[in-house]
Amino acid sequence: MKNRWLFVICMIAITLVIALSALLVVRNVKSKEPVISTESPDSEPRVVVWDSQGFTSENVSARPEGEVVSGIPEVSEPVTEPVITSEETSSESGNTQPEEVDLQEYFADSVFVGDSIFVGYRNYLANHKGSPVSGASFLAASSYTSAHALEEDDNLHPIFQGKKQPVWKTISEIGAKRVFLMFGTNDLVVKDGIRASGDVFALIDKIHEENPDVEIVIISMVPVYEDVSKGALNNPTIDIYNYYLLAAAADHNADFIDLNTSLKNEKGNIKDEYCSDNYVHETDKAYQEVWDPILTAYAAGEKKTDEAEMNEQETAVQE
Amino acid sequence: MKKKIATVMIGVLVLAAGITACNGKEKPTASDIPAVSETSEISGAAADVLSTADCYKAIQEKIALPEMYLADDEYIMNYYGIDTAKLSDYTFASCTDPTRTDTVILMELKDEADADEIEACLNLYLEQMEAEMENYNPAANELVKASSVRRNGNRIDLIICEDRESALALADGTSK
Repeated sequence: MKNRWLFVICMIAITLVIALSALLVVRNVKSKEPVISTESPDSEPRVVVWDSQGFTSENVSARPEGEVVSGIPEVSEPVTEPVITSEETSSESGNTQPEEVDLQEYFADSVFVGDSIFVGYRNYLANHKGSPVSGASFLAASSYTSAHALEEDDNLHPIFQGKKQPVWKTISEIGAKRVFLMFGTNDLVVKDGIRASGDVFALIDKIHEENPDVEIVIISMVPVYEDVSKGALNNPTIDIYNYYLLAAAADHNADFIDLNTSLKNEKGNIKDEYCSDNYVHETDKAYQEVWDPILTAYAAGEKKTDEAEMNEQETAVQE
Repeated sequence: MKKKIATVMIGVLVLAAGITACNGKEKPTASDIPAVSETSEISGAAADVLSTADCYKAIQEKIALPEMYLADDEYIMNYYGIDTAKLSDYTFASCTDPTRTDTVILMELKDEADADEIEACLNLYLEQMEAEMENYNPAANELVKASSVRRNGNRIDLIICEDRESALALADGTSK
């Protein structure tokens, strides 16, 4: 009897010891398991193509070279989230839509030349890689004017890949196919609209001289904050300056894109939510709601024009 | 009988002890040694030096910086002229506001022989900032003038911000 009880106690002890050992083994195994982060991984940025009602690519479809891109309606109800044209986005399907790839390639071949307004856009795109425009190169510097850009040797020429040189040389070296140009913010402080626009066209002619095949697109100067008046820098003068640019663009073989209209309010000043410093610079909201959609719509129209021309040529050859 | 029971118990105890000992601290195997990443801590005698990402994080926590963005490889090549293939660890941060010049650039070079070339790129960038801000934003220009490229062996940094001295101390990256 006594032995039986002793036997039972031993068995219980053995069981406890084995159980304790097993627990220790399991705990050490668990400590080697990879830690699964509770934070959700950053989702892939989605490339989207603006396609809101009343602002379709048909507005900017095939047109003669040099014709003004006009009639772009104001954004009546600003969209806070990007508009997705297809349920299958690149992040969901894993496949990038062909049109999105075309736009990325389009802007990868493009250079933006200008002043601090473009520096701000460049910085915005560095933080928003989902924009099709983010592949573009920038030759932009604060304080830069078209007069500076015309000088062979100027200490404000933007640095690109370690070189500081006139923009027409950099454009040539990187093989850009098109140039988007915006000047005026600093030019109008020291010159009137006529002379400032004259400098822009002189620069366009110089770029074409060195790069005959490059396409040039003039982007309108953007509006400034209400009551801003420094030299000729004020909204009424900006409108006149933009008119000069618009009127002579075709003569210099350049397109013109109007960003100004969509950025300003009914008083003709930049909308509060689009201005970052109560002066001339813009917010991410402006870049997202106005710049990106208008530029990508322009690019989409250009792609259609190119395709239409190629089809015509092929038809002509067949005939 | 008692002897048998005792023997069995001792055997089980020895077995249990062996099992727990084997699953305690194991000797590290090759698979346990973490791969050296580009942002890992510097090994060897400087084992306490933080990565550039950690240094930048410390700077962000202690120094009042404006909204910043981190540059990718293409951006670094295009606008600083630096090939990141020459770097073993790097963080390039710049302010989004085009009217300001706040910059935090921290680098560790793979080969100290590239230091002159990379320092020249950063000096060119400093000259450009000074030229842009001279009449545009004199206050920002003062920060640029107060800055310089700093070199220590294969580590190079350029910091432009208010309270630059504190930022530089944090950029040294020695843990406390």
